[in-house]
Amino acid sequence: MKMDKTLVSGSSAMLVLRLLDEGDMYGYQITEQLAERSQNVFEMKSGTLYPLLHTLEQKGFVTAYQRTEGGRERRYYAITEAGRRQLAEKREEWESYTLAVNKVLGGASNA
Amino acid sequence: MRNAKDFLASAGEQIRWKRARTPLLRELEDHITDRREALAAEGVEPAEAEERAVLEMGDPVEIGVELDRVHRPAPNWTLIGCAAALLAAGLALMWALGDRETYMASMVTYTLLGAAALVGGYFLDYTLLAKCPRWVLFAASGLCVVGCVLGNRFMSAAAQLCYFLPVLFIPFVYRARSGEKRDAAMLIYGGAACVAAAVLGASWMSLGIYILVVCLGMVVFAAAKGWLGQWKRRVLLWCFVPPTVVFALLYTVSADSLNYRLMAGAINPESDPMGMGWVPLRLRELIATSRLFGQGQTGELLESFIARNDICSVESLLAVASHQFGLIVFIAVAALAVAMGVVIIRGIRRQSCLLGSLTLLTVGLSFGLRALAYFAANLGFNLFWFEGLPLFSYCGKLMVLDMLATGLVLSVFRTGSISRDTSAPRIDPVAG
Repeated sequence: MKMDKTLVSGSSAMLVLRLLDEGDMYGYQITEQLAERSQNVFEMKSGTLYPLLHTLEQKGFVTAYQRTEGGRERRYYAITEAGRRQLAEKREEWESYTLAVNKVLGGASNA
Repeated sequence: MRNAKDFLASAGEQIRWKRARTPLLRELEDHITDRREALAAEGVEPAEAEERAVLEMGDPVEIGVELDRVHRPAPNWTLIGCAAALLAAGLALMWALGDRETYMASMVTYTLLGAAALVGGYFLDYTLLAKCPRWVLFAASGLCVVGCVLGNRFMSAAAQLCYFLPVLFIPFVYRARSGEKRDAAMLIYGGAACVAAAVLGASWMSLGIYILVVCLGMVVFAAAKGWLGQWKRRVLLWCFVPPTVVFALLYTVSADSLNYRLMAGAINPESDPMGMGWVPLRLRELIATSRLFGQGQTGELLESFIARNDICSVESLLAVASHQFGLIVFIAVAALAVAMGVVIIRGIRRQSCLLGSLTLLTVGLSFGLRALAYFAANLGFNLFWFEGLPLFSYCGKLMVLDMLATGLVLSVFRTGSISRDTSAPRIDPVAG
């Protein structure tokens, strides 16, 4: 199932931070993990991913470093403490939001 | 868009900052390569694998526009403002209180030359520091020693050049990331050359301690980042122990030297009130009788002190200015220095380029140490005499080097988002 882009865009940063919270990754690895974990619901284009990663880096939520692996030099991203705090905040916002949406969608039965 | 080359060319056209194109497109190219290889591993034909990998990337114009939006040269206005304010304050106070005839013309000249060096450093790609040949440091260290041998006229220039040696030491520390024995050994030789230049060349205890602290700070930073690998203990041992022994011996041997007496006078000025303790005592008196705003209570001794231009023009300008115009001057100058320090410390933590972090650390340590000594000295605790407060004090040719270093720091902030380390370390760096 493909998702409406606008639904995904608001939560992209949270999803990327969540993946990096589990370990350092390079760009391609992030898109692969995202697709795999969401069963191909989230297929993030590089046009979205790299500007997002670079913005997160500028805000100090992630940091990047070069590492050679199998003869290839890759740019890895790692979450910072500020990034973890941001993730916790976004997660809380997301849970409140989904709860509210579910209550509305569920109608009177959830009230 | 069928192939990677066209895709990257199209995305690159949208990125207006030319210097940003290469590192950004490299990351996109790596992504395409990874995807192409993954598809090929699934049995897709190479040509089709590339086409599919490129198509999955999305619209190159869109990605180029987005990257262009994120990556623009980012001048650090806080740092630029603080540096400009310190320079302006130094010039204004020198004009108001200093020995204009002796210093003003050369101060203006060196400030203008320094401004050119700052602009040059700002627009220069600071990553060139990584490519700086090692002989430059050895040659500069040699010049410091030769300058001392040639006599007084060159000794001051030699000492001033010593203050810039830590910047030339940066490539030594940076290349130690390789984990190779040769690079670890060169790191020790480079550090030894810096210390030798300060001890043999300038023969000034404070300068030697300055070099030791800054260079060791850089080496400790490298060790903490895991750059030194298996050589960590040996490098730290060789960098710490010999210079410490040399300084301990020098300090013991030179127990009656000017260095020793100056330090003794600063620690206990009452023991030599008309000799080495005279300046510290007057400075403490100046500060103690200052008001927050306006002129302080000026006694006879203080008037004579202020009248001694050779003392108050440069080294004690801040104490004299605080007495004449209020402690608010001291507080304002200290606040500017602290603000610069905070910006640099934050920069060290946030730079993803290791060379950028190292450059900020080097200049930050160097300026920070001199600032601490300067403020302490102006409060009457002149245990160490370094060449004044960077950017604020008149310190001859060193002003030009200080402003060049400031330009390099600004260059790190300006290009931080696109700077990449040249080669990967064998050992994983500590993230964050």
